[in-house]
Amino acid sequence: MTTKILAVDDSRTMRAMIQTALTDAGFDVDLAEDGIDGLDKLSGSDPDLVITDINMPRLDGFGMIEGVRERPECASLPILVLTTESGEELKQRARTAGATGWIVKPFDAEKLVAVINRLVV
Amino acid sequence: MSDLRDMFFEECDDLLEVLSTGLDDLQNETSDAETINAMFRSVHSIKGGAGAFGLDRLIKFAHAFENVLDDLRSDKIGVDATITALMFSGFDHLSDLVDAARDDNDLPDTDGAAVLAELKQTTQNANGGVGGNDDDDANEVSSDDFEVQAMDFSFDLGGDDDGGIGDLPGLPSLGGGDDATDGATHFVVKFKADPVLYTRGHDPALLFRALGEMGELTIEADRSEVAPLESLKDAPAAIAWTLTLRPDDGIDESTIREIFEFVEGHCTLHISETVVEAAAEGNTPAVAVAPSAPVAEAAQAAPAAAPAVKAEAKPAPAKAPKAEKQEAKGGDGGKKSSEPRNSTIRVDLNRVDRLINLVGELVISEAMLRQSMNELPVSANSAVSEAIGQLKTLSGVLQESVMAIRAQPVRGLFQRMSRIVRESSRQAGKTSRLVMVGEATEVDKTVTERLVEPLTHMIRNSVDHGLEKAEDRVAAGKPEMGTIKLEAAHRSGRVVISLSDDGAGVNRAKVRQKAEEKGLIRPEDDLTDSDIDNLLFRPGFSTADEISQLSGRGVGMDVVRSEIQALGGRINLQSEPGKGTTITISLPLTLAVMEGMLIEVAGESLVVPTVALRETLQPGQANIHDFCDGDRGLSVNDSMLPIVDLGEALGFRAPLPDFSNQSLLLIEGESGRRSALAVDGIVEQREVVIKGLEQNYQSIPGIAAATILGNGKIALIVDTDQMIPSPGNGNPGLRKGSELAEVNSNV
Amino acid sequence: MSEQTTQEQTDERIEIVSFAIGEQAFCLDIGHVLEIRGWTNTTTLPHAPDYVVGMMNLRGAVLPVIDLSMRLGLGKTIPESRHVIIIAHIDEKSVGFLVDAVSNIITVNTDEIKPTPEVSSSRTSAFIRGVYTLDDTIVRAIDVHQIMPQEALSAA
Repeated sequence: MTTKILAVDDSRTMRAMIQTALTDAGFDVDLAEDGIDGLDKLSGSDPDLVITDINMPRLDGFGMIEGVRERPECASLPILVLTTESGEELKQRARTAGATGWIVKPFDAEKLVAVINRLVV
Repeated sequence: MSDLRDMFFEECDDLLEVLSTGLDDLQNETSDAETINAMFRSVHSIKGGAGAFGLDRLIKFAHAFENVLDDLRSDKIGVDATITALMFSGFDHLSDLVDAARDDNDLPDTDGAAVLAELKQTTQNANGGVGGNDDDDANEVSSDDFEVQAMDFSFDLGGDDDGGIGDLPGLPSLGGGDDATDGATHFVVKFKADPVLYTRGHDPALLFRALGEMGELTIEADRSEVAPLESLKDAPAAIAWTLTLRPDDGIDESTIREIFEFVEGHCTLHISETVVEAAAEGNTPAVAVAPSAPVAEAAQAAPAAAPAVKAEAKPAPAKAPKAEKQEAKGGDGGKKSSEPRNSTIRVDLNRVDRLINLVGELVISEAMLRQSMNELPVSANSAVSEAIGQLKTLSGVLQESVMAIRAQPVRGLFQRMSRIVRESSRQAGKTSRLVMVGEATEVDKTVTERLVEPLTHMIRNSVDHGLEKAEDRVAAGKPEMGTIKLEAAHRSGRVVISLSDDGAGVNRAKVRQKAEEKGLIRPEDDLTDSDIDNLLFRPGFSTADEISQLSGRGVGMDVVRSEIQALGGRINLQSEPGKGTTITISLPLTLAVMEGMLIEVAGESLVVPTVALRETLQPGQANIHDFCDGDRGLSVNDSMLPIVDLGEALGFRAPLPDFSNQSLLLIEGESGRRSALAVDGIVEQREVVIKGLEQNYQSIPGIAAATILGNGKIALIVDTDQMIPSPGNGNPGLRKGSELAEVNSNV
Repeated sequence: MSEQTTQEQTDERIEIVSFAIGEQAFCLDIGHVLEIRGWTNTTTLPHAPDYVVGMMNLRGAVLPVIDLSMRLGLGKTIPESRHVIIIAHIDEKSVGFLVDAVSNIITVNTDEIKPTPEVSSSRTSAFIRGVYTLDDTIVRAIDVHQIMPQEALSAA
C-alpha cells in the first residue's frame, strides 16, 4: 500500500514542489490550498501523514492542526508543519497546536523523505 | 525545474497584485485586518519561493518587508502616511527584484538600498531596538533543515535508583550481543514517552526503527510501571525503554538526537555514551537483537493502541460545524474573507491563440458554406438549411465563449499604471494619486498587454503637462494632490477605457499656435475647440517648450492613436480649461468580428465598418456641389461634407470626373467630423471576421484590416478615420500613401 | 575520406528547395518553406510597393504575395495559372513567393556555399547570400531576411 500524504500550502509553486519531491520518492500525494480545504479533504484523502504550511488564508496551519486533532481517528496522524524559521518559539507553538514535527523551507527533498519515513509505517 | 520556476514567477505576479490591491486599500482607508494579513502572506509566499530557488537578494528584501508587515498585523506599528509610502516603495522595489530574478538580471547594488534600510529600521524601532537585522535572524535557517538543538534535560533519568532500568529480572543485561569488539563506543538511550506524545502522531516504534538503521540496536523494555489492568491505550506510555546502539561509522550523538528532535518535550530522554568492554564469555547470547524483533514487539503495543483508537472512532462528524468553528478560531477571517474559489487550470497562451484562430476560420468556412447554399437552386433541402442555420448560431456562441477565455480583468493593467503615476509624480515633483473605477471589467489579454505603452505615455503626459504645480493648484482652489482616474466599462458592445486628470486642460491657444508654426493649419482656418484638442494626435506634436524627460522625445499622441487603431479601437480627447482632460479609448469587445458594409470600388470588394457609418445615399440622391481644385462637397441638411473618391484615395484608379453614378456613404470619425465616401456600389451589410495585416505584412495607409468573404475572396476593411479630411489632416492616408508606395518600391 | 575525419568539420547537411525565375535558379532553406501552391487569385493592396502582388487567402489566413522576380529586379511577373506560390514562414511572418516553377528539393552541405559572383546587379546581390554549384548549375541562395518587405518608412 503506497503511503498517502496530504500536502497543504497556499502557494501553488510550493504545492507543486512538494508533490514532485514526494511522488518521485514513491508517495501518493493529495493537495489542499488552505486549512479549510485541508480539513475538507481529510476524510476523502485518508492520508498517512499531513504536511502543512502555516501562513494561509481562511484557516492557518495551526488552526487546521487543531481541527485535525479534534477528530478521534486522527489523534495520532503524523503532521509536519512547513516553516521558514526554526526558533524555539515556533517549536513550542507547533507542539502546543498538536504538530508532530516541522520542516524548514526551503526544504531538501531527501531530508523531507527521511523525516517522513520516520513518521509513517 | 524550469516549469516550477515559471510557475513561481507567475505566482509572484498574482501575489504582487494582491499586495498592490492591499496597498491601495490602505491608502484609501478601506482596509481591514484581513487586508494586512493578505499582504503579509503575499510577501511571505514570495520569500518562501525565492528561498527554494536561491534568489538571495529577493529573499533578503522580502524578509525585511515581511517583518514590517508582521509588525503591522500584530499592531506594533500603526498605519500612517509614512508607513504607507514606505510600503509603496517596498512594493515597487519588490516588483523590480522579481522582474530581475525572472530575467536573470542583476540590479545595481544601490537600487532599493534606502528602502531596505528603512524597512529594517522600522522593524527595529517597533521591536524596541531589536530585530530587523540580519544577524538577529538567528531563527532563520538557510538550507539546513534540521537544526539540532541542545537538549534540555529537565527530567534526567540519571542513575539507577529510579525504577531499576537495566536491572530487569529475566532480561539479559546489556551486553552488546554477538561480536567481541573491544572498547567500542556504544550509545545508551533511555526513553520514556509522555502520554501526550501519542496524541501528536508520534510512534516510538518508528523512532526505534530509525535508530536501528544506524547500527546494531538492542532494546529493553521496563514494564514495571505498567499497571496490571492498564488500558491498551495508556500502556505504551508507561513503558520505559533502554536502547543500546553500536553505531555505524559516522553516527555520533547529534545524529541520534536528530531522530528524537520532534519528541523532546513530550518525553524523558537521556543519551549517554559508554565504552563497552568485550563481552564476558558465558553471557547468554540471548537477544542478538536484530532491531526488528523487539521493535516488532513494541510495535505491537504501540500501533495496536493506535488502530484501536482509530477503530473506536465514529465516522467523522458533520464537517460543516467544525469548519465554522475553525474559521472563528485560528483563521485569518475577516469581513473581506475570500471570494468563492473557482477551479482553474493554467493553459499555454499559444494554445488559446490557436483556438481563437481556428474558431475565426470556422466562422469563415461557415459563411462560405452558407453562400454556396444560397447559390443552389431554391428547392434545396430545408433540413440542410435548418442545419446550416444552427451551425451559424453555434459558431457564434463558440466564438464568444472562446474570446472569453482570454478575457481578464483590467485590474492588473491599472495597478501597473498606479506605479507609473507614482514614478511620474516623483520625477515631476508633484503629488498625485490614481483612482480606479471598474477594474473588474474584463478585456482580452492581448489587448491589455498592448494598452500598457499607450496608457503609460498618456499618464506621463497627464502628470507632466496636465497637472499644475502644487502652488498653482492651491491658488485655483484645487487640492494639492492631483487625481488621475482610470475607468473601464463595457458599453454597447465595446470596451471603453478612459483616463482623466483634474489638471489645467489643454492650452488651446498654445496648441493652435504650435500647429500654425508647424504648418499643420493656416491662421485663417476655422477650428472648433474639439478640432484643436485633437490636433494633439498629429505627429511630432508636443506643447512643451522643453522636451521633458518624462514625455520623451517626439513620442506623441499620434503613436498612441496608431496603437489604439491597430487594436481596432478609437481614441478621443476632451478637455475643459482649468478643469482637466479626458482621453477615451473605445475598443471592440471581441477583436475578431465586426459588422461592416460590403462595397465595391474599382472592381475591388471592400468593407466599411458599420460603427462609423451614418447614412447611405444611392446615385442621384445626393446633392453634390463643385469646388475648386476638383474638390466636391455633399450638401446634407445644413452642412457641407467633403466627398472622398475612395478609388482614388486608395490608389486603385485615377480620380473620377463626376460622381453622378456613385453611391455615397456618410461616415463619422472620432472628432465628430464627417465625410462622404464615393463608391461604385453598395452590396450588403454583414458580419465579418477581422484579419489583421500586421501579422504577416505591415499596416497600410487607408486600410484597417482585412477579411475573408464567403466566396473566399479577401476584402480590405477601410480605415474610416483616415478618410475624413479636416483642417490640418489633409487626407494623410491618401497622399502619403502614394508617396509611400514609391519609396517602398525602391527599398 | 579518412583524411577529413581528423578535422572538425561543421558538416551540416540541409535541404533546400530550388526554383526557377526566368532562366535563373534560386533556392530557399526548406526550414522556411511551409507548402507549395498553384497560383491563387489575390486582392490588390492600395499603395503597395511594385513587388507586392496582393493578398491571398490560405485556408482563412491572409498572406501577402511577393513577386520574387520583381523583388530581385528581374522584371514584373504577369501571374498565370502555371505559376507557383511558395508559402514561407520567415521572421514570424507567413508570406507567399510568386515564382515560375519549383524544380527540386536537394540536400547540400552548408559549407558548400560560395560567395555571390560580382557579376550580379547590386539589387540582386542584396538579396542573395551565396551560391551553390550543383551539376554545373548556379543556384542562388535567397537571403530570407532581406527579401521580406521592410517596414514602411514614414514620409517626412
